Amino acid sequence: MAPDGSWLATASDDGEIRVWDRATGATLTSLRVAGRLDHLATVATTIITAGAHGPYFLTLCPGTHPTL
Amino acid sequence: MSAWWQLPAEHTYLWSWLPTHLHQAGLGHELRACLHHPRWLVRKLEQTGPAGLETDLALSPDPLSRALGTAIRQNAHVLAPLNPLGSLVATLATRLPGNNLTTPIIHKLLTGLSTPHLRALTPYPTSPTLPSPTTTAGWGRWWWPRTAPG
Repeated sequence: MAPDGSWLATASDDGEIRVWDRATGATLTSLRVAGRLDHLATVATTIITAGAHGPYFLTLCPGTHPTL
Repeated sequence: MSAWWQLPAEHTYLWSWLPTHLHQAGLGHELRACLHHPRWLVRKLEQTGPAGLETDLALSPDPLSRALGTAIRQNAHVLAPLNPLGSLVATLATRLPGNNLTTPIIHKLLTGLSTPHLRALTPYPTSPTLPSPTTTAGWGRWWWPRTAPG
């Protein structure tokens, strides 16, 4: 869970990490890695998840203005 | 150079065959400009999947196309459609090698995201080298090892 409680992160056995908006229940973003994920914890705004291939250290970034 | 990545989704023939026609017409510069544009990479993934993108990249023998093609082939198993908007972009950015060739594309992918997204803070865990997955064409026709690297 985010420090301010605004979002919640989950990890699943299909390798997807999802970040949910607690106010609306909508998925804010997701990311896919290879293999099963078994564990997830948050430290401040860092999301740490681990599974079949080891740990992943992720951070949730706000969007920017598109420049592509 | 044409902004081919702006093609509407309903132009399925062009999404499948445009790079082949550019290649056959001898328009190498136009082909490379298309293949190396971050938005083409993402939209091609969305339109045809990793196998189609890998096929396009194989048309150009330049180092960046080869590097991108290798990364797409080795990570096809995580490059299936993903919601919400921007999630596939973020996933692709985490799978490209951060070298001199591909770092500018990673940067453009991430700075182009207008929605919240996840970024890797450290390199992904690695596994012993496995045989490269083999892709053919289209969705559902690619294969990958069950224990592919993270």
